[in-house]
Amino acid sequence: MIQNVHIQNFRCFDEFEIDGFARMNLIGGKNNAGKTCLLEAIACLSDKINLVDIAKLRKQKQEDLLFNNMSTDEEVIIILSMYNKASGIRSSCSLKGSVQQMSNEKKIIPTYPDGSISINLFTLGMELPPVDIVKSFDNFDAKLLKGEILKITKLVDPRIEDLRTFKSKEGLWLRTHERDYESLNNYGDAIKNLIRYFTPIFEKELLSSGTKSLTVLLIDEIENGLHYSAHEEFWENIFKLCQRLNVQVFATTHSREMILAFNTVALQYGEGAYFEMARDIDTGAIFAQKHDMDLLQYELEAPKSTFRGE
Amino acid sequence: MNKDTQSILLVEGTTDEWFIQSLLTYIVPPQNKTIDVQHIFLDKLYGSSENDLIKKLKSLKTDLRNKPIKQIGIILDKDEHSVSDRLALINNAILKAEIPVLPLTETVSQVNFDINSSRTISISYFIINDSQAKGNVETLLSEIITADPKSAECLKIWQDCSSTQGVIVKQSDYLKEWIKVYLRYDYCLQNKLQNHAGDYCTLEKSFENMNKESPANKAWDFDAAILKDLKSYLIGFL
Repeated sequence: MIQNVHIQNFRCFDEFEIDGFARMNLIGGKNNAGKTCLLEAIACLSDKINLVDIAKLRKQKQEDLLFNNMSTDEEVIIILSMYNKASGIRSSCSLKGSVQQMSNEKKIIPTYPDGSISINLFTLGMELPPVDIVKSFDNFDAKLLKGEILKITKLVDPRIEDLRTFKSKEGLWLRTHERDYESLNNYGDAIKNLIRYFTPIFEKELLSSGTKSLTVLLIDEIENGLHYSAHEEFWENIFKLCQRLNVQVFATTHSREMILAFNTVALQYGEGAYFEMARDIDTGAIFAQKHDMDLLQYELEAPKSTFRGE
Repeated sequence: MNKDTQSILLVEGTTDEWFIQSLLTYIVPPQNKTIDVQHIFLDKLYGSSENDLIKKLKSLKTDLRNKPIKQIGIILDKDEHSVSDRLALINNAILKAEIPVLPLTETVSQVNFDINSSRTISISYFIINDSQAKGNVETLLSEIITADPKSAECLKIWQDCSSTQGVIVKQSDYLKEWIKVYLRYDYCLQNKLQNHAGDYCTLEKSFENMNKESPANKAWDFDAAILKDLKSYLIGFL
């Protein structure tokens, strides 16, 4: 699993280090504290995304906008340090890119030294290329995938009985015991997001037929569209699935209810950490403070606590 | 203290918070009432164990970097402990919260650490005790009363009676009740405030009223000699 991320000269980060990740990581903090940029930095280490894509997705015409304070004299450096508990192997993968490389080569390839853990990133919920859920659904044994996805969607809407694709129609279609198949587009964000988060993960499990390489799931503003009453059950399912499928989650939030539910479930299942990102008032530099689950519980349960991350 | 900076005073509980907040406002020099105490934030530990202090210090770590905090004061009750016991608790908590300072001692009551290249934060402590060099805020309050506690003293009979009935009333609980009765039946009756009990006869209101014009007679004597050291300590945060 990823244990540490070191970032230099990337977007809002001049020099930034965050350490002590668990399997399930929830990241809070005020706006412009760098939460989404952290997810983007991790995403850059995937072969599915690269620095140039991030610039395009941010609708930035010049790649130099990816550089902290437009400091194009220096390279962007992103290093992920990882530890494989099963094998005991420590490794790191890194990405270094100059503005010239971005202009000329259009793609910066990350370095994965021998022995490193392969990372499959699903960068969902962010403004990054969405995974083609329908393609995933059609490419694999739909029955297996369908069963897993149905379990998850029933969390949010127990009326859902089936989901499928049609050759004659675009997209995914859902049926409830009250209504015939309707397009997924007619459903709320919670259902859409759950399907988007988990389809590629289940797909990966079916593809890899038992190999347990690390998958990283990045979710920006995880609470979007999800009613607070479903938060705890939502996390319970994510914890169980991610432990079973060897997925490491990095999610951001602004929701106190989401943090509360995360804390409750993490105390039960273990493997959770909460990080608060903020700016140093003197230097303006972004930093992250880790809160283990006991400390988070203390902060959330303090009388009149309004803790919701900074 | 520059008002662009902030200080944090950690206290054990609600009574301590009300008392210290009121005393802080009281000690602002009358000729300089433009000084306010808004930059001093009181934070409760909800207990006096080492673990309470560790968690509070850890939870402050983000604030230390993203707020202009210059001072942290830790105010604990002495209770039945020795000063060295209290210091050991504070030093262990600071150590376990991974705050890089040298230990506080009976002679070194303030230590500093750099949060970054431009800001240093100090940590200091004060141990609250009464004239017997033990006790807590409640015992201290019982020594700065302004009215004759003749009704409150009757609680001794209640405490003794309870004991004969197999109900042990702890001294700390006894004192809490003593203060309630003192305010309601001694201070308020002797100052004819009983018809405005909600405004004058509760502990919280008694502290709020210390810095108001009315009533003329306050429930507590904030000029008492026993408060001298505590006031000197708090002045360092203004």
